[in-house]
Amino acid sequence: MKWLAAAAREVAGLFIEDAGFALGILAWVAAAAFVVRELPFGDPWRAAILLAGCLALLVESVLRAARKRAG
Amino acid sequence: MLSLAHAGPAIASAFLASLVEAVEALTIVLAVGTVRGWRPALAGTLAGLAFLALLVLAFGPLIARMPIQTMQLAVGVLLLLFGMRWLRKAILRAGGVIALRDEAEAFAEESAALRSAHPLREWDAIALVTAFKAVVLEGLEVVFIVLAVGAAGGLLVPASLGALAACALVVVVGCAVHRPLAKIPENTLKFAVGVLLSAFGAFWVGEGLGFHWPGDDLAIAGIAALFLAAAAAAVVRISRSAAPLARGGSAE
Repeated sequence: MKWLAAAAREVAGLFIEDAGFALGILAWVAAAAFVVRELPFGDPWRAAILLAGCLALLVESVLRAARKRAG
Repeated sequence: MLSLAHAGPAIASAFLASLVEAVEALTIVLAVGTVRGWRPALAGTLAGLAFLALLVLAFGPLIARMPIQTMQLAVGVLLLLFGMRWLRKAILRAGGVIALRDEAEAFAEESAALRSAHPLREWDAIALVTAFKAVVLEGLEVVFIVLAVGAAGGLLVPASLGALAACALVVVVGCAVHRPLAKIPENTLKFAVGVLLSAFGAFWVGEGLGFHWPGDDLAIAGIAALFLAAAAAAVVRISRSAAPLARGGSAE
């Protein structure tokens, strides 16, 4: 069973490297599904909010990692 | 009829991602073949390819049977996790925060590890397993990318052809030069693939949630442009503060 756990870890590693970053993405998708979808905007605006959140998560995670390495 | 504007991003993503993964797998298989012999290296490679083919045969039809919106959302979330992980790492590498991957160094490290492993036998299990694992691990990423960018948009055949073309190219060039393909701009390719996969991910999550993107499929190009702009800005920002890193240092 050890090899199965190792294989599962390898597969999970394809999607998760920084747990905080992965959780942030999942939380943002959940927020888009349950909150953004209910906002009184048209579809292009909902899509734009979804994208803006993804971009913000990416930039924040990169800057956080760079700060951590620097110091 | 399938237009290039419709299929182009899927073909490009599958081709570029497969190029990167095939180069990485080739480095390890070459190290196994050079150090421990070509018989276990090729046997491990063929076994790995057969295992991947079984996975595709097992999971391909399952994906096709899922309701379209559920599949778009599931594929979109996985692509976002996968693509943004790639892009994040590529940004950190481009900004000098983590070291660039160096195929020549990876080849030297793998060769050294294989030399110090158990003595050679007629059927070299270590060599076989090393080649098998390299092909399966790198191939899994290719299979996922092809299924993800292909299945959700009904572009499985063009995406598969893009991936096959990349793998064939790497095998032909690898057989010709018999060296790791260190001159391929792997980190630049990873940056580009990260941008494309993240764009696909955001697009399919939006579609899965029922949001309508302006321009339908063509929105993927616009989303990719925004990911590229944000990534480039992040590289500039972290380059200013990152301590200089030697090439081939502690690449993650």
